[in-house]
Amino acid sequence: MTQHELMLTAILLPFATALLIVVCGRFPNLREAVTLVGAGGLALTVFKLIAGFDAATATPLVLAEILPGFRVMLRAEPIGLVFAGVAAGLWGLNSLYSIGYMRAEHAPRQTRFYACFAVALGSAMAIALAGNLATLFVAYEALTFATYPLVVHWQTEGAIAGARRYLAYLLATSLVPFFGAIVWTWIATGTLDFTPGGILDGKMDDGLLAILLFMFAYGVGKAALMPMHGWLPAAMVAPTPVSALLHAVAVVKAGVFTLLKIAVYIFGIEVIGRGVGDLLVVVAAASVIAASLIAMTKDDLKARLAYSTVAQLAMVTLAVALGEPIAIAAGILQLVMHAWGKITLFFGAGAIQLATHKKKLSEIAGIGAKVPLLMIAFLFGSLSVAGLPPFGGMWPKFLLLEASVDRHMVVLTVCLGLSTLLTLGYLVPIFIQAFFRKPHDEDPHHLPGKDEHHHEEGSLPVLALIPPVVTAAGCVVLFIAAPAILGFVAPVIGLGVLP
Amino acid sequence: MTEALAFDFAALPAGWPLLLAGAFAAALSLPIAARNVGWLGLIASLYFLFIDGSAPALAPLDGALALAFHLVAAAGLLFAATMPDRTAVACGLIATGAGTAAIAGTSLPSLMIWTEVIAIASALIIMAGGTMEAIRAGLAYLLLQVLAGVLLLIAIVYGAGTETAAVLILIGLGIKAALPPAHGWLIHGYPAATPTGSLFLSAFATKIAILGMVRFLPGTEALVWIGLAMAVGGVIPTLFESNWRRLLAWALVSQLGVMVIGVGLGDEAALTGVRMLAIGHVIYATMLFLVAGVLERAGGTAPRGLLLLTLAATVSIGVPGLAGYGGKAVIGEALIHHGMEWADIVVVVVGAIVFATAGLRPIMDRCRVTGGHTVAGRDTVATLILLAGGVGIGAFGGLLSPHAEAAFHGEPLIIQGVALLAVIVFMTTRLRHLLPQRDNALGFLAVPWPRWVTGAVDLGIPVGNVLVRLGEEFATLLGQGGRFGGRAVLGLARFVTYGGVGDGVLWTVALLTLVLIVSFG
Repeated sequence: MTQHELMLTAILLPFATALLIVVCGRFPNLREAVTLVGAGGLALTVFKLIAGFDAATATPLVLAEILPGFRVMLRAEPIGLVFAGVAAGLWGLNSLYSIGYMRAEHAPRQTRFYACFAVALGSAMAIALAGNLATLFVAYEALTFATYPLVVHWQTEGAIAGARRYLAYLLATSLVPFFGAIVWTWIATGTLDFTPGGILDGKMDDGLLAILLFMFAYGVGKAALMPMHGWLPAAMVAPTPVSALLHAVAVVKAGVFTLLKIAVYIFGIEVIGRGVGDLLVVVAAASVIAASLIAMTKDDLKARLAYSTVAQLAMVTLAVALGEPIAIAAGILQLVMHAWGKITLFFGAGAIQLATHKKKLSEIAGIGAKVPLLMIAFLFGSLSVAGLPPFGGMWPKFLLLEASVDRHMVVLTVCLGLSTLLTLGYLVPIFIQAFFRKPHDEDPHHLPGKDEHHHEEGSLPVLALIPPVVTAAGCVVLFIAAPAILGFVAPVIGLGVLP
Repeated sequence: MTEALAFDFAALPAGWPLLLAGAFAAALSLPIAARNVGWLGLIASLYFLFIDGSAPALAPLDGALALAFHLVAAAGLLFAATMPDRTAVACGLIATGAGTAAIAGTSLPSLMIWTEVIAIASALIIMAGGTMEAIRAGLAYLLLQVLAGVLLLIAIVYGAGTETAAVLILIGLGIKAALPPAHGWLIHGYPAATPTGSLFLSAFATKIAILGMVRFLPGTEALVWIGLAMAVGGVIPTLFESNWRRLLAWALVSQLGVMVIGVGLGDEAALTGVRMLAIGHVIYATMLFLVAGVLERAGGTAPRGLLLLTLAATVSIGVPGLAGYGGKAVIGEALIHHGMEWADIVVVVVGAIVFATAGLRPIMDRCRVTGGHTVAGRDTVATLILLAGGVGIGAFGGLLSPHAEAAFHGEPLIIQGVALLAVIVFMTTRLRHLLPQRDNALGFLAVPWPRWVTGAVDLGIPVGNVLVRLGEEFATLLGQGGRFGGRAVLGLARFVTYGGVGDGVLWTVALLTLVLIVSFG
């Protein structure tokens, strides 16, 4: 297949899968098989797309021209392919996990669940392969609407409130600042196509560019830059596989990916680097520290992980705002590494809930003896997110440190160092609690609370155990594979030759 | 940036069989299986390092250190057989493998990566001690070591050779090598682990840090004085400490001080001395921790335990032909060469006192106490393995480097003999009761990092709560803003539509006219 056909396949295949899922909805085993086959096919397609990618021969694919200069257009480029690879690669694992999780929980409305999942992935693919801002915007909104039924899945009062908040934040930000910024860009330049080197240079005053950058940073609400992060913890009402999709793979990564793409192809890295992004650096760094501190206060595991996501995403925004090729490289790697690390953690949190019916840090004392392999995977994920070697997460932190030193931002260097320690400060206690503390039953100081009753013991389906172990191993593999990813994206971000 | 990224992924790290074995040991649920996998990894690692020849050959001193690490791992595996501690075994194997890899990789990035792996493994070993104190000490250990790792990372960014990088490396490796005031993590951390845990802990982390100093910070003047302070300050608490493993931790600090002095001197001979002492110290410190563990488990003192203790104590003495001697003598020689004879005497006296307090006094205190369980054969074998290593490094140390020849000068030996005689007389007679002993005596000398670090982490929670509150206020504000905006839009819509279609059209026309006038007028 040619590159164009592969791109179309990558986008249409998930939608076709969704259709088939709806058709097969009455036969759960067949339905799940469709999901898995779809995920496998998508992974294969994206793999072929990446393997056959050649910057010299890549041409845009124009699907329609609505207005002159306003086209629906696809274009394969390295950053988008990295995002597509992450999303496609993790969809299969997430589906396996979903099957284990949803069946163990006897969840209702599973057909809708799997169908929306597929549609969300299709939207993510469209975002990854979009050739201009207009196409990206449409796909971005499609992703918002496709994930809404997933967030509201349980349809309890709390779930509806959380999902409403999710929708309100994402729509408000994308309709006002994001759409405004797109229109402004169009008026200023007459085009919205992603062009290497950017399209805004010389078209606008630097001060106005800084404002435009802020509009984009807050307009892309999926990137959850503080203080517009409220939707992210609110969306924790969703089933755990959805949280994993939202907070590790598709949604938040679509947000930061959009930012990266805008930085590289709309603004141009050098334009941001000459001072346009400096204020955003401060906001993003503050966001990193503040979100980490808030994460420490959360007792609920998923809430803790949600704030951790806010902090880690702010690092990508930070990378964008620094405006250095090496920082952009850090952002791209953070997108990959955080996806693998955080999905491990969400899988872990969900599996803990399945195995023990416990959701809170204070309740999970001593569960390490029950699910040792799971908790070791959890530790791997934690260390990767914190950025310790030999886990993939070290690379983005290292490159960000390097960029901050290049820009002579000493305070930022300190902040980044501190953030690693803070990350350990809120993630390692989970592991300690699980492995090295005794369960409350053996703790003489623990008085049973009013609402505390003995939960029935759950069991951990093997389908919910394998995915976290695989992703945890992936964190180590990515540590070694990182230079290859860097080499793949290096040409478009002007990073020069790598060793 | 390109040279900073030069992590070498082309070859497998040295010691990979041990890393693999550690991973398996962690994953396997049967303790027996875990240990057997450990043996397999150990043998495979030795094979690939020294016999196979496919790995790049290590320099003699590096090879000897790697061998010493493997001996420690073997002793640890034997010891763990009678005192199962799976976390300690698995993490200990990983630490051994990472230590070997750190020895083989000579670049700063590789040092950074492998010290971090050792740090993670060691933190888990400490936490596996199980008490609240151990968990605190483990968390503090992890955070301090990671801080050191981050500093090394920034040093890599600056590029080795610049002044900033040198300072950062000094602080980073200083934390890892337990330079004051960081030594608190060692004093509080090592005794908190299980006996098996302390055995593994004592060998790797600090020695690799010293090795890093030898490679990247040779001849830093300040280190001589810091090292002297460590040597003296570390030995004083050993005189009064009754918790044996904490005593050994203090003794460890004091011996690390001697090595740091050698790094500070920085000439070829002194650095060789440091490496030799590091090798010897891996052996005899582990041996002392091992025997301490054996006797702790045996309760009272079995005759065989006493014998083992005597052996361990003997190896640690600085007499020619045993592990404790070579390195110290070479460092002493270098001190004399630099015109610091007094410092040489200090080092010798400190060594003698360590022998007296860590080895001799326990023997004297325990030989009256009878009873207790017998010592398992495996523990004896473990001690004997280390003893063989100790004798080996003592006997053949001279072959590792030409500088070791300096070790056979007469004058320092006389001082040594006098000092040893003095402490032996002091410790074997009733004079030793002049020194009162209690648990955590002179504890104020060690910064209570566990409390400070966990306190700092806990401090994050109220700050986070303030931020949460701010966030809530902001969300409320946003909600009100949103409601207001929504009402405004709805009101406008109502205003336009409720007046009937005609009015709506009228209003629209009026607005359009206004826009046209404004834009063209």
